[in-house]
Parts: sequence; structure tokens; C-alpha cells
Amino acid sequence: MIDASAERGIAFRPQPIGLFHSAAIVFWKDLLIEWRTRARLNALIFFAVATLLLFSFALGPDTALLRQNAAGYLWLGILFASVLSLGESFRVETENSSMDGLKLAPVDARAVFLGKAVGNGPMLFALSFVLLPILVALYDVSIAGGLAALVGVLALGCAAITAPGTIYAAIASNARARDVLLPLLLFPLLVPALLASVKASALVLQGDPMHQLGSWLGLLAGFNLIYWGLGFTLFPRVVED
Amino acid sequence: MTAPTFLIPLLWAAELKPGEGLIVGGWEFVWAAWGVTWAALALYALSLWLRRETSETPKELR
Amino acid sequence: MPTWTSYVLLLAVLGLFGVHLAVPATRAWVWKVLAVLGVGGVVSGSYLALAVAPADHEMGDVYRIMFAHVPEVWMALLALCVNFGASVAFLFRKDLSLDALSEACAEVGLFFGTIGVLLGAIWGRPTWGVWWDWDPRLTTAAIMLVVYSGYLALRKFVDDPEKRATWSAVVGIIAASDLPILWFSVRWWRSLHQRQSGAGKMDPTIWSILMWNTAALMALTIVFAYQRYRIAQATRAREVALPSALPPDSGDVPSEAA
Repeated sequence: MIDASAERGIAFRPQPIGLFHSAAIVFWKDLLIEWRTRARLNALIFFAVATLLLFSFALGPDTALLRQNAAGYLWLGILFASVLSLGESFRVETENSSMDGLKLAPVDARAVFLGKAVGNGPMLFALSFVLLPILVALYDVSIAGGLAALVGVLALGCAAITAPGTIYAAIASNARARDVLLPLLLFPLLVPALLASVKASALVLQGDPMHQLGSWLGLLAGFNLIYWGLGFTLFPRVVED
Repeated sequence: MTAPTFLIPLLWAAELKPGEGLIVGGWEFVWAAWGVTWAALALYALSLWLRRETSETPKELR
Repeated sequence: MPTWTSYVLLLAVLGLFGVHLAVPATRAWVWKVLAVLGVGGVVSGSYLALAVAPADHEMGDVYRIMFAHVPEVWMALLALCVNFGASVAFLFRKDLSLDALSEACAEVGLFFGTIGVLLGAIWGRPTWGVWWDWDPRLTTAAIMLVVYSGYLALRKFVDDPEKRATWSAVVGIIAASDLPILWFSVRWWRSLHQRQSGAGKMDPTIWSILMWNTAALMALTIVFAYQRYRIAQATRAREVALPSALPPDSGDVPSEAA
């Protein structure tokens, strides 16, 4: 694969460029936009941290209870933040009709999906890493199952939110009341991913005597497989004219 | 024909209380359930009738 | 009550629907016959369920809710399957009447699903002692209702008929593919709690009454879906005929004249 960073986000070539190359360019473009302001990640972190704080206020200062439910709060924080992140990632395309520019470039719509999804996933992943020490500090959790297992769960869970989230954000960004629509569509759909992520994280945090982690990770992997596949296949329909 | 699995919680509830597995009465719940069904069917039919197409609809789409 | 009577009703309903599909000229009256069959079937089926069916030796009379609850959930699943099929077909054929069919089936499926879940809760009270139990079936069905409510909400938020149709089809496919995953995840989620696996014979009278109600509700489902489809078609005809009916201020949404 050609080094996308050398392109600096602009590639004009006589011959059409490959799917993964254009996906990398879309990804790089978004990363550049994000890096120039760093507004999105900062906002996400503050929002998610505030959510984690609010959970402890809502439930009272019972440390045992908070520790027991820490995985659930972590994933709810990530889930709520994901809506902001996903909405923002398509707002930059809806404003000034940049999506039309992308399509005219011409960029394969599937490449736009891959670029956007691969951009949103690490954003959530980074966010979850920032949240981990806060989780440890606020809820007094210990990571019994090891950090490597937790990283795996976080990566799979963030990817599971991202794939359907990207396609729904593309739809919602063009509809009226987009801020209402995205969570309305996305949250119920993500129930299986949320269940699996919370269960797997709880097993990693509290220990896994019954060896159930594998089946939850399998469910997450299956969810990812289905929705990355569906997103890749259906996304061109969403952005077509 | 196997027993439908929706009966399982009922079997389970019955087994939890040996000797008094038979649920006596409960007619008010039966009437409530069927009442909800009748009312919902009638109301939905009414809503469809109220939303029905008017004369301005082109004939070929009927 | 012999079982064959229920099957006769079921076959009559299916046959009439087949005629409705195959011979467009009959569409003006077939639905009326189905409506009469449906209403008559529900009235007689209610009588059969409430008065004729024998009390169950374990659940007493409460199980009579089942005669309404189970066919309603079946009809909801049936309608949502048609919604999925129409969504897939729309992406291939781009025919707006397929979109009207998905819209009709989603609403009818949501309607039957809602009363089915409501009856499940009413049933839970005397048998489990609580209105709601996080039973896999009940939970899955409830989330399914929320998923399809979102689907119908999306339709209200998009004005352009073509875009609404395409996006709804995409969301319909994604929503349908979520249901099996949802079912497994909720089952595993509950797997720490004991569950019973029971198998036995169903009383033939009970089965035939269940089938009778199923046939009656299927007739009503077809009538409802057909009427809702006509409404959806009329809406589309208006939207296409009068471009001025679209909101003039599409504002920040880029309008592609394609």
C-alpha cells in the first residue's frame, strides 16, 4: 500500500486509486481536521468523564456497588460519547456539501465508510483508555483479568459501536432532527454489543472463574463481522443520489 | 407437537410451589388481556379508516 | 372442536390472499371478505378461548391469554419478515411501492408486537408475580419494538420520498439482522438463572383454538397491511404529484436534483 501520509490528503491522479488507498486518504483527512482543532476528542473526554461522575452521584457513594457496576458505567459513558463523536464525524461532510465533493472526486462510497469507521473506532478506543484510570480512581476497580484482555474487549466493543454507528450517522446527518434520530436508531440496535461488552469487561475486571469470557468475545466478534460487512455493503446506498 | 416454550416459565413457576401448582382464578387478567386485544384491534382499524385515501388519489394507485 | 375447522379457516385466509395477489381485479372486494372472516374469527375465537377451551391443569384459566398473545406475536414476526423482504427488494428494484409495503408492514408489525408484549406483561403478573420479568423472550420483543419505533421515526424525519425509501430500506435490513443476535445475547445474559426445558403434548382442542385465532388474526393482519399500504401509496402519489408539498426550506440539507 502506498504511504498515505505522503499524500497529505490530496491525491489527484489520472488513474483511479484503490479502495483501501482512498479509505486511507479519507481517514487521514479526518485525522487532520481533528488534529487541527482537537475539539472533538477534548469534548468527548469531558463529556464521558462527566457521565462517569454523574453515575456515582446518581447511585450514591456506595463504593462496593459502584465497583460492581463499573463495567456498565464505562460502556454507557462510551456509548453516550459515541453519539457525539459519530454525529460530528458526518457534520463536517454535511456542512458545505463536502460529501458531494468526496463523491465527485470520485471516491468509492465504500472507501468513505471504511475511512470514517476506521477513524471513529480509534477515537472511541482512545477515549476508553482515558476513562480507564478515572474508572480505577472513582470506582476503585482492579483489573483482575489483565490489561491485555481489557484492551481486547475495549477494541472489539468500540469497533462494534462504530460500524453500525457510522452508517446510521450518515443517514441521520442528512435527516431533520439528526441529534434525536441517531441515538433513537443506534441505541436499541447496539443492545447486543452493549451486553457483550459490559459482560466481558466485568469478567475481566472481576475475574472469570467460569470461563465465560470467550463466548462474550465471540458474540462481539460476530456482531462486528456482521455490521462491518453490512455497513460496507449498504453504505453506498446511503450516500447515493 | 411439542409444548411451546412460552409455557416454560409457567411450568417453572408451577414447580417452584409443589402442591399448589394450579393457579386458581386470574380471570381479571384474562379479561384484561382480551380487552386490550379487542380495543387495540378496533382502535387501529379506526385509525386506518381515518387516514384512508381521499378522492384526490389517482385511480391507478388504488 | 375438531382441528380441521381451524385449518379450513387458515387455508381460506391464505387462499383469498393468494387471489388478492394474483388477480388485481379482485383487490376491490377480497379484503372485505378477509375483514369479515377476521372479525368473525376473532369474535368466535374469543368465545372459544374464553368459554370452550378447558382450564389447564397447571395454569388454570390464566393460560387463556395465550390464545391472543401467541398469534399476535406470530403476526408481528410475519409482518416484520415481509418488511425485511420488501427492504431488500427495494434496494434492488427501486420501486416506491415496495417502500410503501415496508412502511405498512413495519407499522402493522409494531402494532401486533406492542399488544403481544403488553399481553405478555399481563400474563406475567399472575404467573410470575411481577408485571415484567427480564425473560429473554419478553426482553427481546421489547427491544425489537424500540428498534422498529426508531425505523418508523426515521420515516417521519426525511421528506424526500426517494431518500426516505432508500434509508428506510437500509435501516430495515440492519434492524432485521439485529434480531437474531439480540435473541442470543439476551439468552446468554440470562443464562445464570435457571431455565426449564419442557416438552410434552399439547391438547388438540387447545391447538385447534390457537390455530383458529391465528387464522383470524392473519386475516386481520392482511387487511390492516393492505389498507396501510394503500394509505402509504396515496401519500407517495401526493408527494410525487405536488413537489410544492415538500417543505420549501430544505435549509442546510443539500438538495440534489437527480
